Amino acid sequence: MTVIIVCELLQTTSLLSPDKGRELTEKIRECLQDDADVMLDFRECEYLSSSFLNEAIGKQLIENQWTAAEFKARIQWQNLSEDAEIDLALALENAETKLHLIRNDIDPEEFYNNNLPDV
Amino acid sequence: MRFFSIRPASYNGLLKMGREILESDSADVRIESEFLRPYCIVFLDQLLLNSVKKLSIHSSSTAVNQYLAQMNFFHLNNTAGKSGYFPQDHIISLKRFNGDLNQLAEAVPQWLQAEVFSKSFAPRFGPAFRRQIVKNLWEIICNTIHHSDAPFGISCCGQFYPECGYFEIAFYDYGIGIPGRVREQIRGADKYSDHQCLRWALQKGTTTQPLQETRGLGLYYLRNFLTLNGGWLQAVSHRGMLQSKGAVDLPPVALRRYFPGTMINLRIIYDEAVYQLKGEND
Repeated sequence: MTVIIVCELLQTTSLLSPDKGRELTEKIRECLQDDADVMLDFRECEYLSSSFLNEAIGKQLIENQWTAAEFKARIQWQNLSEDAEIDLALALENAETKLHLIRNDIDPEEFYNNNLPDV
Repeated sequence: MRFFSIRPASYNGLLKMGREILESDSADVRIESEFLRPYCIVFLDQLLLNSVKKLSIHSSSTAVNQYLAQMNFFHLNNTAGKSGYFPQDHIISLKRFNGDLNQLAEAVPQWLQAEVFSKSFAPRFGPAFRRQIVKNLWEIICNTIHHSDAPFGISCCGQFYPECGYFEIAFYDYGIGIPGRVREQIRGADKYSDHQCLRWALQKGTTTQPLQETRGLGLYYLRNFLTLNGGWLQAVSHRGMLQSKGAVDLPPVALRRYFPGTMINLRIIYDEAVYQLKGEND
């Protein structure tokens, strides 16, 4: 298993911008291509945003067409606060929803555009 | 309007004041106000930034001039300077954010550290509370940079009210506005009223970004945070105004005047006796 110390890799303890999420995605992708499982170590992380998690975590699930369980079998994490764990779970849930639509030949953009919520 | 509250009538009054400033023949406009709140200051900052005329303002009230000076309001024509008339420690001074998100990801937490978390009178802000504040206010700024097309980014400032155990913090951009963006990007949304567009933007999973571009949950997270916090959320754009107090959604309001851009005005409770965030001890 390859351990990625996220804040060291990204050289910041403020994991907010989606660009930083993309940088992490690239690194994860490299590890997966080498058939390695990945441990994301969030030690020293001060702040985490949903846009970062969607880029770093959500896109990985969609790209690899995994379920959340399959994702967790290949990518694990540690040293996340309780509230950040909830955010990460939500990023996975959102990605699973989009993937479900894609698998059913439904364009997510079309779906959301044509199914306006009752507000 | 001489005193601005957070009621809808005050937002209409602010728009009226803004129109009078822009229509003034003078380059230095006198405003008749004796009490401004943070949302008024961010509105005036962006209004004057985006004006084709180079304008400055001053108030008929010495106290307001002093307050604007202490807020670092850039368009103030007043030589009084800072005299400590208001406790500077209670002020979250005016700041603009624009440009590269990687740089902002460092600058926004630094600003919050200096202007919010380091207040000596406030109870110690726990780590979970800090993370929630940074995450949620970041989402507002990030949303503006991505969605609003505002040429001068977003202006922010705030005020602590220690005797009440809360602070108010306001964010304003002079961009396309949430209803404009929703109707532009989401097919079928032209049937929505302005306040319905605002409500749409507060729901989980909605984004005006193309779905290939994954983005945050922005206003949805903010709404949830304030539900737990018991604070106020006001979202104002075009003629729509949505308000919530804790878990209670107040009836939507149609403003009498068109409100350009998007205003997010928050009242956040920080009193530890009133509010303890789950996981605060970690």
